[in-house]
Amino acid sequence: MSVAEPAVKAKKKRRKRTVVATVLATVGVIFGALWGLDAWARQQVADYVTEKVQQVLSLDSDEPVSVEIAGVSVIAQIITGSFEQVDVGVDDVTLGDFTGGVTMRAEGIPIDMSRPVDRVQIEFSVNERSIQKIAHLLSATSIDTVELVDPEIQFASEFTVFGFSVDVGVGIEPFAKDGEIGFTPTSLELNGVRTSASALSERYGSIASSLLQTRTICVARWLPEALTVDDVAVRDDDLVITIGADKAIFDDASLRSLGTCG
Amino acid sequence: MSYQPPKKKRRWVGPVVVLAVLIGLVIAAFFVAEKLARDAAGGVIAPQVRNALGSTSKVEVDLGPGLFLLQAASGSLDRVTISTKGLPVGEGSGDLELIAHGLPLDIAGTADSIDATLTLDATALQSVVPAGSTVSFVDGAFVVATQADFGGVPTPVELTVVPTAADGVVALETTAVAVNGSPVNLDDVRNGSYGPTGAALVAPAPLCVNTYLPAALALSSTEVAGDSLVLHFTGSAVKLNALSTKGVCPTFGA
Repeated sequence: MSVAEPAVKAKKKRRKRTVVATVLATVGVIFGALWGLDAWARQQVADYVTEKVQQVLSLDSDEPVSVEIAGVSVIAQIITGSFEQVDVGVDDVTLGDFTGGVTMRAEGIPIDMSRPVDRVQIEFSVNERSIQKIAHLLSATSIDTVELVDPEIQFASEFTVFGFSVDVGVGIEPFAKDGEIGFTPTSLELNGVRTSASALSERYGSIASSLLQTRTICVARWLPEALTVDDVAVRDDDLVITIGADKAIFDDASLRSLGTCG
Repeated sequence: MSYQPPKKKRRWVGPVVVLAVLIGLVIAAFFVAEKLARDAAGGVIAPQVRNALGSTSKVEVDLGPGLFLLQAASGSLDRVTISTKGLPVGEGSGDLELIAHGLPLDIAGTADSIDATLTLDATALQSVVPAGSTVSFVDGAFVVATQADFGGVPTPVELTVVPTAADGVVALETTAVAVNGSPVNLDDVRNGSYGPTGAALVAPAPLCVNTYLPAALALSSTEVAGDSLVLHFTGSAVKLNALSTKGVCPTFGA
């Protein structure tokens, strides 16, 4: 046995360690670079989406838009040709006379926009004050209060006739069906006494049912065919309108073709 | 290359849908609230009118074609029609329709104008015709068929009477007389050819219904329509809290 053997062994070991360290460092640098590149790409996509949203919603550029791109790697998603999921949220959008929040979730978004997006869901939240504004705008001062009381929107009006004060209240439940949005009066209030619409119908029959008729508006004719109003409902303190699309192509041609009510 | 925003190419339909939902909600609520408010306001107005008129019959209130809630917010109603049947007038009854323009919702307020139409049937005229007479309506006049006692002989007499509005009362002027079915000269009857009985029969006898209606309304015209005597009253700048004060009738030199 040579005396030099342990020294050689130690040298070999050191070299091995150096190789491992170099490989690890290289891999680390590559991963770091990839991660950095991915973060950069993620930011680019987010900026693009933010700009688009600000442009479409006519927002000021300092208005915060939150964009979240799901999935581990954005670059990988770009290479595969589609994004898994993008969530966009804007808290306070002022659209004419009302203020509300908008959130959008898109799933399976192709880079090539001539191909369909798996699912898009846009939610508009409108607060009580905005509805009150619209009510005042439409009916001067004759509707005094508007309250969102899940599942109803309650409107109240007060007036005085020959010294007698009269309070009337109407609760409306909105809904969406077959491209239409509808409004069903569900409760009535007179001088503080609230009656459900169904109780009134049972008691007064046809007179009450003409009063409590459901009214509908076809909104599909204003929307691109691909988009439908899925839901209109009172949720907590907001009126939430949900518009969705499944497997829809969002190119110019398809956006131009408007829907119809079934 | 810097980003150029597209020229006002609004493709986003979100606001349209949100606005449609909001407008739809408000309209649906307004429509129901309007009906409720109308019923409630009618329910308040009717008994007060019934009290003011001293009527026991049902009073119907029509708040006009305009949107009630909008008018209520402004404090007065453009046109309100109030009607009641069977308002007691003399021995008979009449149907009354009041049309108020600019009716304030404050009882201390003043209505721009109130027009009233009182439609009387023949029984309401019994107080101004001799007892036992029958009254029938002809074109623009009414005919009183009665029996007169001329020198102990009961004789059928028919008087044609034309109503006109004069000095706040209904002047009833006899324009023709028939005795025993034959027309006779009216001036002769007036001048006593048929004695004091005949002269009394054709003497002008006013009809006054002012005590049944608010003092603020004055008789403006009369007409005979079908089988009714129709009296038109009018009043402008009518104070609502004065409506329960009834009118007065002048004392006729009877």
